[in-house]
Amino acid sequence: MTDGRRDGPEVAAAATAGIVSRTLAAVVDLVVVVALMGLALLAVAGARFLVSPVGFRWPSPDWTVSLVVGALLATGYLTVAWATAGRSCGAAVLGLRVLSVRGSRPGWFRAAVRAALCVVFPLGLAWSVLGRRRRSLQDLLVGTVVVYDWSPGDGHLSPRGGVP
Amino acid sequence: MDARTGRLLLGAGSGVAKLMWASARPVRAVTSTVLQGGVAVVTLVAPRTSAALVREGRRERVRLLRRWNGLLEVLVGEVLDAFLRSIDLTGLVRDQVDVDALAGGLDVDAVVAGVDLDAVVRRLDLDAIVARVDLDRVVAGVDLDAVVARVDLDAAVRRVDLDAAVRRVDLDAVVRRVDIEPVLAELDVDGVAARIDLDAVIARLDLVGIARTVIDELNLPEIIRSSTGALTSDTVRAVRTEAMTADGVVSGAVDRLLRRGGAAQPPVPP
Repeated sequence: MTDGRRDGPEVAAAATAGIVSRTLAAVVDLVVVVALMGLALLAVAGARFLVSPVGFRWPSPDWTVSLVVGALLATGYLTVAWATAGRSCGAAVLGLRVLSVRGSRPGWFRAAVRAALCVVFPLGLAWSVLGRRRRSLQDLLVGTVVVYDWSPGDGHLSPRGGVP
Repeated sequence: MDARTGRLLLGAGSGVAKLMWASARPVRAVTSTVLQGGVAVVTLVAPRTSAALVREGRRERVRLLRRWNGLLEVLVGEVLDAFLRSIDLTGLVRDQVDVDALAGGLDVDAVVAGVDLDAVVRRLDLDAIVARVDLDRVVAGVDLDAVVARVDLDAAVRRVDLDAAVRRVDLDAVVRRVDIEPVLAELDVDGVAARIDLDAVIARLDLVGIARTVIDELNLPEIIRSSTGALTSDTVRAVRTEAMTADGVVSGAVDRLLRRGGAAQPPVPP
């Protein structure tokens, strides 16, 4: 398997995304996560109905459970998105891409840690305003960077002349 | 007279005769010679004379025959003219001859079979015949309606190889020669459209089948996807550009606030 890599100078030359684009992407991702939670609720309700149709009641989870489930869903969703495509749905809409500082795709571990950090401490994104290179706390901790990339799919991360 | 006297007389007579015969010998010789010469002359001359006579007779006969023939011809001609003038031959034939019986006894098939039509046609100078025909007058005298009414057009059309005929027609050339403008100018399109029974046409159309075929051919999902994609693409591009501008504004404001030397990375659209 070929990993599309870009070297340091290319990353340095590529414009890193600012706070507004990243916040808007996060909002879109939040909507996606809420939708995923709705689907999960429907799935649970369907399973309940199948198990006990007579005693079926619509599930009404409390806030703690909802938050935990939402956090888990968000972490899983962001991990899969960044590790496989380098971008979540919000990043795809805003034309952003998450790269490692070496310019490659983040990888599963780095993506999972970054996702967990983003979910637990989303305010770390604010550091991208203060930092000179527009990197959030999560970026600094896991060694990633978010750049503008309007190319669809894997974009320029695809192998040169490789399959689309 | 007695017997003796008789015998004496007979003897005397006989002696006289013998004396005369003997004395006439030279005369007899001369006469004979003359006669023989005459015969010889006649024998020599007669054949020539007779041949000439025969030839003369032949010539005379021929002359006479010619004159007689001439006379006969004149005579016969005069007699026949007088005869024909004196009788009504047409009426005679009409009254006396049974034409139907004659025609009934005629084997027309045999007659026609015996005619070498090819030879007859070969000897005909058709061009000369056609050149002498006044076709306008002929056509003017033809009752075309009656002719057309008697023609079995169906049978004629069945025998025509229309495919071969159409193959030989240069339709492009024909269409090029058609001046369509006057035709269109005279066309009453409204009248034509008013006469069309659209309901009947629509009733015969398999609209569902046509629609299904069109949809199958159109690849509708692809069209919707591409048009939606274009729409979304424009919207998304606008959002991205605005977001990038806002990024730059925020970065610039923070840099000024922190008294940093301008934005480190001005937003550049990819």
